[in-house]
Amino acid sequence: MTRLPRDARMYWVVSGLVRMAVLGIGLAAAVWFLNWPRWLFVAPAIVVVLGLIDLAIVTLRYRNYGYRVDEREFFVARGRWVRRTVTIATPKILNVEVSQGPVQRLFNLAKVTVSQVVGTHDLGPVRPEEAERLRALLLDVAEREER
Amino acid sequence: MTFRCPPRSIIASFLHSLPSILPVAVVVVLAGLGELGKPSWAAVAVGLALLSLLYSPVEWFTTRYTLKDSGIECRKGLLFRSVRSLAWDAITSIEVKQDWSHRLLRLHEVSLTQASFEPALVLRGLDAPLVDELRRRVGGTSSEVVQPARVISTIYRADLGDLLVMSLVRGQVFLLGAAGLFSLWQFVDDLLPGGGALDIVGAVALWVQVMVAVAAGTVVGIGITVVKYHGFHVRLEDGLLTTSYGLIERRDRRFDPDAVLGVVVQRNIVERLLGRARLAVLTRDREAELEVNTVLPTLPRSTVEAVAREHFGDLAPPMLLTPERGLGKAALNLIALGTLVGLGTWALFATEAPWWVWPIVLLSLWLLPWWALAAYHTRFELDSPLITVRRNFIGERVTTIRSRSIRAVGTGIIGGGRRCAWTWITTYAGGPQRYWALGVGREDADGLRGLVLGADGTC
Repeated sequence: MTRLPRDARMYWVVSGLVRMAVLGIGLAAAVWFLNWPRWLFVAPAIVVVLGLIDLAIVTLRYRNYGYRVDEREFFVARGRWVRRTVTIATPKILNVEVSQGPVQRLFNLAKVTVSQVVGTHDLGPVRPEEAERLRALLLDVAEREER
Repeated sequence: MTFRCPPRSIIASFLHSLPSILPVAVVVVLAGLGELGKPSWAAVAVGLALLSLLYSPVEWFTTRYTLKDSGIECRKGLLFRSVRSLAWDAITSIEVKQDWSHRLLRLHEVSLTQASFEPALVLRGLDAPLVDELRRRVGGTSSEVVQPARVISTIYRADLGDLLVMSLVRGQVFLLGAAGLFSLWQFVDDLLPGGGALDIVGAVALWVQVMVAVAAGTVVGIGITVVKYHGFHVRLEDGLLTTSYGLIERRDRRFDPDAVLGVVVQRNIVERLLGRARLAVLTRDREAELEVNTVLPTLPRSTVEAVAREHFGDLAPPMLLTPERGLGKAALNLIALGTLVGLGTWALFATEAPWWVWPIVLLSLWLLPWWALAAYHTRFELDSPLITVRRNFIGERVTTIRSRSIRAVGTGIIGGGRRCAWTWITTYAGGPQRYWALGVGREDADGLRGLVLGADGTC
């Protein structure tokens, strides 16, 4: 199983903080300025608590995230307490998308999204060169399957 | 061989659109007459309506079909011309329909479908000999060869009694009856002058009103079902499975055996009680429309199982439906769901919740537990090269598909348990579908992964 790059942890921390700040402040502002009932302040509080829990388990998430992509299978496993896996036959993948947001660009990371006939599945963040390698591999197998 | 549809197909097209256009046309003309001599919106509308009358003749004149050895070609368009070609080999099914205007003029609408939901080509207004010619070509034989007499062997033909049972058992009465009754009520209400039908009905006792409404709904529902499924006939024509039904609008569907990717046997709680079931097939093109792909509507389960084994033997699992009726468990599940919704209603009453909360709470209390319980009662059975998804909840639904249709598998294991808390598979058998099951063993999940990765050589 291949592990994610070490910078993935920092990326998760920073993106988690950004998400928590935007959501928490947005909700609190809505409650304050729109004169919603004061007990609704519990909503931004829940966002902050969940965000902090998310930050606390970043290392654990990093340790338990692995993937295996070859000509036969696209396999992603994540989580320890709740272990989730996805297995797709590589030839059945229809297309691949590599994306890079501003925070990912900051840490030189990218996300790979594969589409099959029913839905999409994410992998990453990984290094851009690894994402490009995966994209080339998956599309090469898909093209061979077409032929 | 190049041809246009017969000219009377233009008349059929006019006739078909008449019921929807006529009322609008009458209103527009009357409004226009009232303002004669003045340019008005009505005159513009009349002009547009006259222009639209030209559509059918122009479409007829500019559309030509060519039957070649390799496939069919359709050339059409006046300003924007297009040519569409379909290879005979790539056509997975041919469906022949006749609405009332086509039946009147002895014409047919033929839909040629490839591996997608939408027909790849629709030929409207064909003569019977051309339909036969198309069927021969799609069936893989050329018209130049003298055809032997068609061999037809009937699998099932529904009589009036069967249609009545089907109407009651499948709940068609309630769905179609209510809609039909509502339309009838509106018609009568508009027809009567003054205060409408409400004045007359108001004079009758409430229980009589309810009884009459239920009786009328039942009669309308049965009537609509009988008309819709009139003459339901399943047969083998030259070895090809064919279904046809309909009194006003006739549907005739022929299945390419290679296009059948799975079978679905199901029964609702009433069918369980009566020992009946129905059979449908999943084809490469029409998975989403099981109604169209129904092979047997509702028959004794022994008949359904026998037909499934005889005609789809390679797709029928060793055990189709569970041997017992399983009514106790089904009733318990239904009661559990009903109790939950009942408690929710009581809580809503007690808290005097605002009206908009009601549908959200009640739908959540019904749909979420429904999904969870249905997933809990779903099992995956692997029997390479088949996979059977058996959901035995309130009703029973057994879907058997070829394992090559599985595209992905996902699992979730909590706390390193021996069973997967949840497992899902995504399949493509004519359409995308995701099945969820709770509590699947890890070995079975590994087996599913093996199927996805082609451990049995099918991938």
